[in-house]
Amino acid sequence: MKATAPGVSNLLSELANPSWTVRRVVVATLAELGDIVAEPLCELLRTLRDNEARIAAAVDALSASTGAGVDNAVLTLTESLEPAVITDAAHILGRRRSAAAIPTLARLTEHPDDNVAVAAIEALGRIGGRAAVDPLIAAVRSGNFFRTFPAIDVLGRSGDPRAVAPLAALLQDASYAHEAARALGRTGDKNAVEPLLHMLTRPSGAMARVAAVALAELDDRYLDRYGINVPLDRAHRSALSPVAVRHLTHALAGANAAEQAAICRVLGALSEQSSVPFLTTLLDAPAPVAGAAADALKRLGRDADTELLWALREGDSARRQVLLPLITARSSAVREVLLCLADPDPSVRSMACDALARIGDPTAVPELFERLTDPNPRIVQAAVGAIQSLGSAETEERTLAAARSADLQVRRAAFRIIAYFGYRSGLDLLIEAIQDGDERLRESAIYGLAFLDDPRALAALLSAARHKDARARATAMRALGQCRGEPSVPGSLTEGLSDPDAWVRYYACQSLGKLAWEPSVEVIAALLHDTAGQVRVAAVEALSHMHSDVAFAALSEAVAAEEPDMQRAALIGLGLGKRPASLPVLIASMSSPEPATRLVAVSSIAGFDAPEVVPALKRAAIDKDESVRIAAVGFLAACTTVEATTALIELLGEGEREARILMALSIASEGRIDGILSALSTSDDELSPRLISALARMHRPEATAALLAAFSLPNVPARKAAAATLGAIGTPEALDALRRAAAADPNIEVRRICSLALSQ
Amino acid sequence: MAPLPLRPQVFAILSALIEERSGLHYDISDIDIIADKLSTRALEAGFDSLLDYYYYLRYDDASKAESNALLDALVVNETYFFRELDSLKRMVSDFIEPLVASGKRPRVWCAACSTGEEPLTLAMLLADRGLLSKVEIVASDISSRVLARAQAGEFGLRSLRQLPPEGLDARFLVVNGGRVRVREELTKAIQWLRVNLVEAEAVAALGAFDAIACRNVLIYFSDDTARRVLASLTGALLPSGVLFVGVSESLLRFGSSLVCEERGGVFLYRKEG
Repeated sequence: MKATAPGVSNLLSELANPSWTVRRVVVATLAELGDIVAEPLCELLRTLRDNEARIAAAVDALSASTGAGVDNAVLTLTESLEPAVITDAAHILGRRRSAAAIPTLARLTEHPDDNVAVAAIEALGRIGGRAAVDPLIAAVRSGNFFRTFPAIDVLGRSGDPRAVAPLAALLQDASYAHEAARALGRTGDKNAVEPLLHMLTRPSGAMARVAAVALAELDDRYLDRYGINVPLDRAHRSALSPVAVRHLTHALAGANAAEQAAICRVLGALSEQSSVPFLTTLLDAPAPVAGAAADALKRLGRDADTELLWALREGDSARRQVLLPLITARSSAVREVLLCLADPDPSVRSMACDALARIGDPTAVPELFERLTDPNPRIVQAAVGAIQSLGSAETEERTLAAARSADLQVRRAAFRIIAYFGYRSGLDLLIEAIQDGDERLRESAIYGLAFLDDPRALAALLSAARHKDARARATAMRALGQCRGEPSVPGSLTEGLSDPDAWVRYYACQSLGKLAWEPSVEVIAALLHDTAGQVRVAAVEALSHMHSDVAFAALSEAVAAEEPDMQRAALIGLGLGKRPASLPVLIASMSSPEPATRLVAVSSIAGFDAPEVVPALKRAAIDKDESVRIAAVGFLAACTTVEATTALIELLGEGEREARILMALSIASEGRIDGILSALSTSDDELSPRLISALARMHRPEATAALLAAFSLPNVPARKAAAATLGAIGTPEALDALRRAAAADPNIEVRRICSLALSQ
Repeated sequence: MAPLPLRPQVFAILSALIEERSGLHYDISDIDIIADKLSTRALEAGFDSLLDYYYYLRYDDASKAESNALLDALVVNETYFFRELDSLKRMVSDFIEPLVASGKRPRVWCAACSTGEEPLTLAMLLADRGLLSKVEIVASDISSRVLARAQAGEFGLRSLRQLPPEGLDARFLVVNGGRVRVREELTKAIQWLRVNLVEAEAVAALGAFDAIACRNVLIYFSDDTARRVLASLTGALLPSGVLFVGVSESLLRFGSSLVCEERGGVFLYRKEG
């Protein structure tokens, strides 16, 4: 070994320490030291290969190293004559996701030593196989089991159209068929449908199950890429054979839950009516399978109507829970849904109310009124919601009858309906109920008064604001917040601010805020020091709706409060006010240790039009709390400027964030398209397909024009990605462009992809 | 769809409050599940805004009655008789029996026992060996509702989804009309207590135990809360006392001072004595 600094030498010697805990700490330290230790570590891998623990630790340290020059140092290891050293180098480069290493790794896939070749293939898999499709195809076709197997997986993940034919060819070989089928699913390429469906014609249950899972995955990937799967359904139907459907339904018997769900999806895509009885039977299966069966029946459309309705009528609670969300505006289902209102499971009853509202048939109203006696408040709420949504000529009469019911719960619900529709015929009933002994009934009546357009209603409400019962007064305060433009209301609310009951003060604040009643600002500001916590917070919330300097000063004071609820309410207020002076405070709050505070701060800054906003949202998009991340990406998604688009592209990463950002990038707007096109001018083989997919998912003429523009960019990865997508779009302009490029594009890979796309 | 809308900001403060009071951790992905349960409770309590409901819980629920009712609605009651039986058998054979043989009266705690199937299974195992009267069993849960069900000693057939060891069911369980009834001597042999595991003082007040079963519970907590609860449980163990967690749970990532041991395929954690 060459001489190194004593500290580093000591660390390197500890890489062989028998304690895993010690080695772990040493690895972390070496990784942090970066470039200083890259060469010594490489030298160690070259020359000191007598201890497996040391070798593994050195590989770990180089893989995790922060040094910018590590990739180059490791690349020199690939020139070694020792296959084990080259294998280690390939592993490290893969784990580092080194794009610079792709050409070297591609070359190593043909190395005479199997271990080296396999390590190179796996490394390409980690980095992304798109940039090395040809070497991977060669590995797949090599006939060498050790190389073919890993290459199948990487090739499938590449999503490159050139992968389909070599993978499909492997379906004929029993050793590779299952793995090749799975890889075909991962390509997300429409051309993979036909070979996978052909697999279903073979009399093997195992084969059918693998093919079904692959087709389901293909469906997901296609949908991700293009935002629609209609062309894929068409491809399914054009390759449909009765034998395939029969084999699929037979394969259900030995299938696990995931396979059963996949079979359901394929049957739905095939849209073959003979599968309806099988799908109906599966509605009783555990949730994921039953859901997939229900979705498949929905895709079958009216062909499956009779079975769906029968299943709803005869099914148990679990089956109904699966089916009810599928009921849309289909009035033929009303009778069956009404039966569900008597189901023993409250969730089913609640879902039935929602379904009736969606169907929109007012004949359901009488039975919905009967649900107002349901012992579960959720159901009563759902029934009230459905009645309000449906309305009908007889609803007023039934509501008034319910408002006279002996059952207090029914009366309360009826009062809510009176309020919603503003039935003046119910006024006397509400006024009478203000004196009722039941406090919940009184509250419903008082709150309902705010929605009746009648001077007597307002007078009764103002009188209720002085009711002897504190809860009645609190409700009156809440209700008065709905009475905009009534001169007597602010006075009554201002009186409420000094009520002895905290909840009266709380709702008085809330309502004055809602009415943005500036004259009360100083009294409300004084309540920032109220003894009751909820009043302090309500005061902050009320001030948020006011725009005077007094309100702003009070909010600025509240931001510094120790109480997190007050801080958060103040941050919302500053966000609503949108004063430039608030922005630094809000941005500072994005570093709060409390996730809820950070979430509120993010929501508040999103409304500002300032250059600091996009960078701040971008930082929040990688917050450690998921809700903050989701909110930040959501706000970036709503912001369609080029800057926001660039930020979203830079945030593209793995897993859930990737999916959300791609969705955000797919929102059509001028800024979005310009930002994506700009990024496509330099994007690599991994990023380009994702950006192109975002353009494809916009389904807008200007986005298609951008796809064509991307196809003429000098950047080869952008043209490759655009070629595959233009083939899937298949418009005359897209096909013309593909034909021209197939003949004349300067890059051979682009030409080949164009030819493949044209053959679809 | 939940009856009352739950905005992410309100979810954030409500879920933080729930975690502070019960340890139950919810991610934003749980928003639909939690919205439904919160809405039902808020409506029951007379609120039609979840923000108002939050302020009520935070500032005006001095008796904690509504907080407890909400936690009752939120807790997961997934348990059944003879679940992960090997670890309970190991607890009896390797720890309780030797202590009884040495003349001690061991104390055992089933923490977060839900509807009680776990402590009742333990009681069956002890009764089977004639040890029930020689052991003190404490069973606790945060929910008074489920403890009441446990003490009633009557269960649905789903509680018997795991086949019992031969003979045990016939001696201690009676299945009749789709219901399972446990012999009264078992429910009475157990001290049922409402305990919130995140309240360290409440845990400390239970005294020290020779064995604790806290199985499939820590998975519902965030790592920070799990660490705190684990510290309380460790404090509640006598020297050489043992803690049993669920078969899929590991305490290693929490940096526990307890020592992991494997006995006949069962992993347990022992306090050094």
